[in-house]
Parts: sequence; C-alpha cells; structure tokens
Amino acid sequence: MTGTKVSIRMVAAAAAVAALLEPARANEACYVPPFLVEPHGALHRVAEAAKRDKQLSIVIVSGSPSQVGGTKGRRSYPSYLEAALKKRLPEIDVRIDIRVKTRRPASDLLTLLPAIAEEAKPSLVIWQIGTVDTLLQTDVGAFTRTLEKGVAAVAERGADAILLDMQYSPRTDRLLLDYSPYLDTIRDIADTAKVPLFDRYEIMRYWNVAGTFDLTSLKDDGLYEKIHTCIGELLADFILRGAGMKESKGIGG
Amino acid sequence: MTAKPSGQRDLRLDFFRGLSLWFIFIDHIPFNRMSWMTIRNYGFSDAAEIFVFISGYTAAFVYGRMMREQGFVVAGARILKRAWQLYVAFIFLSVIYIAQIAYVAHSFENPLFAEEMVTMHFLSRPEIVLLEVLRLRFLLANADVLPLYIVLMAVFPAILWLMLRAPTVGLALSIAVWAAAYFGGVNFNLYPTGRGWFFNPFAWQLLFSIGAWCAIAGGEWIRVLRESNVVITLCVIYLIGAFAMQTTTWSPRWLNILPEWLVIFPLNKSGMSPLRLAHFLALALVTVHLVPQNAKWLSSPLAQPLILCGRHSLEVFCLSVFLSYTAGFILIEYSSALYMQVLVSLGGVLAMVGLAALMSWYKSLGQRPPRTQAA
Repeated sequence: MTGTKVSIRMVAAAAAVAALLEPARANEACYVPPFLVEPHGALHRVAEAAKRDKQLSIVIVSGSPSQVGGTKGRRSYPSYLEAALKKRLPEIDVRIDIRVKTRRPASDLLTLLPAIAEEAKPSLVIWQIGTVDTLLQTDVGAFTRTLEKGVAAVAERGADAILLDMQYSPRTDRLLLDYSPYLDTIRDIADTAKVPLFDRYEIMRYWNVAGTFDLTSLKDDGLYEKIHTCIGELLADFILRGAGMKESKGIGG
Repeated sequence: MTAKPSGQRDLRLDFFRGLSLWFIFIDHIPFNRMSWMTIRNYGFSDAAEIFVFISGYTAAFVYGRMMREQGFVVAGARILKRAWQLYVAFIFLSVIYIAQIAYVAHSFENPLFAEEMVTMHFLSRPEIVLLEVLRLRFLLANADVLPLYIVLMAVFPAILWLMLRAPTVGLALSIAVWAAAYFGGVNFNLYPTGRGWFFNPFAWQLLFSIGAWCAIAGGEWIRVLRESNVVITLCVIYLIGAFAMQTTTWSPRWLNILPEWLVIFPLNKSGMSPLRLAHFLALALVTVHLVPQNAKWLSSPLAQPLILCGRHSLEVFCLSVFLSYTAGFILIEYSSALYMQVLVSLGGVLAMVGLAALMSWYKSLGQRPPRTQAA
C-alpha cells in the first residue's frame, strides 16, 4: 500500500538527514522525493550574477495576491524564499521584488514582463502561473501562446526564468475546477523551452498523499505558514541547484 | 437469476453498456488509481463512447418498433417521458452536488486556498444557480453525460422519424451537425464560466445517431464488415496503433519519445475527434466479430451483474454519478489510501448491481400474473 511505501521513504529520508548530522529541520519537515524538485534546465544568469556581481535579484510575477504576500499579517513563500537564500548565500546581496496583477490571467501578466526586465534587471523571473487561468477557464490554446511568449520575452532580455505552477487544492480540484489542461500546458512549455518548472502542484499533492500536511483542512490552523515556509525552502534549493551552486543529490530539501 | 431473455434481446448490448457504466463510475472518482483498469488508458476512445452508442442503438431499436407499430405521437410521447425522467434525475443529482460545494464553501476558513475559493463565489446568488441548473447551464463537473443524454432524448423523436424514413439522409444530417460542432465550435454554454459543455451535444449526437442508424438500417452493413477479414485486420491494426500511442500518455516523459508531428494528444473529446470515433467504431466491429449474439458466456452467472446494470442503465447511471461524488468526498474527507480507493470502487459497483437487481425485481412484480403469491 502507498501508506507503507511512503513511510519507508520518510524514514529513509529522516535517517539520511541524521546521518549527515545536519540539523536541517525545515528540510525534514518539507521532504519531497528529489525528482520532484530537480530543475530540468540551467539557471546561467543566476550563477553568473551570484559569482561575479555577488548579487541576486529576483522578480516574482503572480496573479494571486494571497499567495505572494497580499494577505495582511502573513508571511508567504517569497518572504521565506528570501530568508532561505540569504541564509544559504550570506555573502550575496539577495533582493526579491513581487509584481502582482490581482486575479488577472497570464496574458495580462505577460504585458508586465518586458518592463520588469528593463527596469528591475533581474537575474531571475519566477512566473507563478495557472491558478487564475484555471479559474477563468482561459482558452488553453491562448494560454499556451501566452506562456511561450512570456518565456521567450524573459530569455530575450537576458534573465533566467522559472515557472511555478498552481497549488494543489484537493477540494476545488475536480469538484469544480479541472486543472489538468493548464498543468499539462505548463509542463509542456517548461519541457520544450528548457525552463525549470517548480512543480508546486505535484509537491503539494505529494505532501497530501504522504500525510505530511493535511491540505483538506478547513480551518485557519497554521497550514498557510507551514506550506509557504516549505515552498520557500524548497524553492531556494531548487534555484541553487539550477544555478549549479548546490549538489543535485540532495534529499529533497 | 433472471428470466430467460426474449429471443430478440441482444445481451451484448446490455453487457457492454453495463461494462461502460462500471468504467464511467470508476473513472469519475477523483484520484482513483483503479481507473487504470478501464479502457481509456488503452486507446483513444473510452467508456463514454460505448455508453452513448449503445444508448442510441437501443433507443432506436425499442422506440423504432414502437413508432412503426403505434405511430409517431405515441413513440414520441414515450421518448419525451424518458427525457423527462432523465431531467428530474439530473436536478436531483445537481442538488446533491451543490449541497456538497456549499458545505465546503461555508465551512472554509483556510487562507491557503483563498484564490481557489474565489470559484465558489457564485454560490452567493442561489436564485441564479438554481435557475441555471434548471436551464441545464450549471452542470456537475465531470458528469455531463447525463445532460447530454437528456438533450439527445429530447430531440430523438425527430431523429428517429427521419431515420425510419431516410436513414442515409438522417446520418448525413447528423454528420453535418457534428462538423458544425467540431470545426465551428457550436456548443451550449455553461454557468458561471461561459465555457461549452464538455460533452458537446452537437458533436456527440453523431455517435448516438450512428447507433440509431446501425439499429435501423445498418444490420447488413455490419454483417458484411464483421465478416470481412480485411476490415477486421485493419481495425485490429488501428487499435494496436492507438494502444501504442496511448501508452505514451502514461508518463509525461514518454510523450517525448514521439516525433513532433505524431503528438496528437489530447484528442478533442468534447468535439468528438474523428480519431476517437474511428477508434470506437473499430473496437465495436472487432467486438461484434469476436462475440456473436449467442455467445455462451453471456448467459453465464458471471456476466449477469453487468447485464443487469446495462438493462437498467438510467437508474444505474444516475446512482453512479451520485456514488462517484460520494466516493470522491470520502477519499478527500477521510482517507485516499489505495485500499480506500479499492474499497469505494468495489462498494460503488456492488451498489450499482444491487440497484439493478432491485429494479429487475420491481419489474418482475409488475409482470407476474396477479394470482401468483409474492414471496
């Protein structure tokens, strides 16, 4: 059964952490199988900026304010990401900007990209994508073209890109929304354009199945902070691995 | 177990319709790994095609005879009565579905999914939601075979009238309507997204009509095709090719094996892609080639649960929609472990067989001579 398989994996992961004698508590709590957080595609600009200029400027583009810091009094994953990167790269100046167009589809965010690349000159653009388009049921063909254009626009202006897909939300998924065409599109584009995809959907789905977090919780019981902490931590390592600044054979964290 | 079938009843229809109902049920349970057993993973078409085709075939067979013997008005009225039953069943299921969404929306305080919950805002206007349900504009996610069936039955008197007089014209007209849907995107709209029906009735009527055509005028055609080794070989080759193609969808990595021009997925299911249609027709031909009408195993006790379900397809289908939602609810609220998936799948199938047996029993009550003691 899955239950046992997962728990064996978890035990193995915990043991590996212990063996490394590294008190990586966040990593342990956020465990996902390494292949889920393996960047397929290299982040050359990030590596270059970090080594040469000792700085790393990241812009996160999103249409979902409550997921990137729009909710009052809550820290969300960009904030945790920044902290995690600063901790891992103490000698590098890490800056994260967030650009939000509230509940606007990817096609609207696309119009932001050139300006962002010009004025903020980031080494890395993290494009959080999928939620709003699923909600609005954007035409999948149009969504595909938007993504292709966006990825090309970022590359053209000399920045690396990471696609970050939607959250896995077991209640709304299937009950009302069908994410799959949008997920498939995002995965396809990431694959063909060799842009690393941080597959938040699969990661959260893994946590839900493995019992790491109960995503069906209806209450405001700290799940938000836990998930965003883990996403921030995993994303930090994901970026570093993409830039070749961290071993790929980690234990997921 | 059941009474001997009458000479004319083709048990294959009941058997395969029953099978498609089981498959549809299993496929509609969210996150159910049991769905690996169903045919959708092994070729282009899936259980929905089987269900719609056989429904068209049986409807034409039953009501066609009625229309010939008792006239257009009587048969038409009977068909519309059936459509009405389907409509009432649909309203009933929608109420359960909306109650489930409302429950989630009402008790939801988790800020993690604030964005996703925006989708439930439409519930703040219940008067609109209810009206849209009645207008068939608010459909249960993943289960709009039922509204498709309603629409098809509602127009079936006209289709049948034409098919009985000029089957070729009827079929040609049906193909023209399909083309308007497939190439022109003609479809009904949904509330609140404005998206089209997943089972586009303008496209899917083609399969229903082909079923009706087969029952009325296609007997000789089917016999010739079924007995032609060339045709059957071509069908088998197509099925094997489709199977090979479909295996590449099992894993996103495998899709990369295919050369660019061969990447045809996802096939247009809403608009009834010709590749899907061809796949189903090939499958149907190979099936009638392999399984003669008097195949022994069809009367074996093992086949009876499926035949029972196929015979009471309306009731069983409605129950299965309800069950798949309940099963999804159980998997989300309690546990989605593999054994739970097996359990809810098996439990649902048993419930479907149980209902079908109950319906047969009710029917037999009506048919018994009054003096026989009901035990």
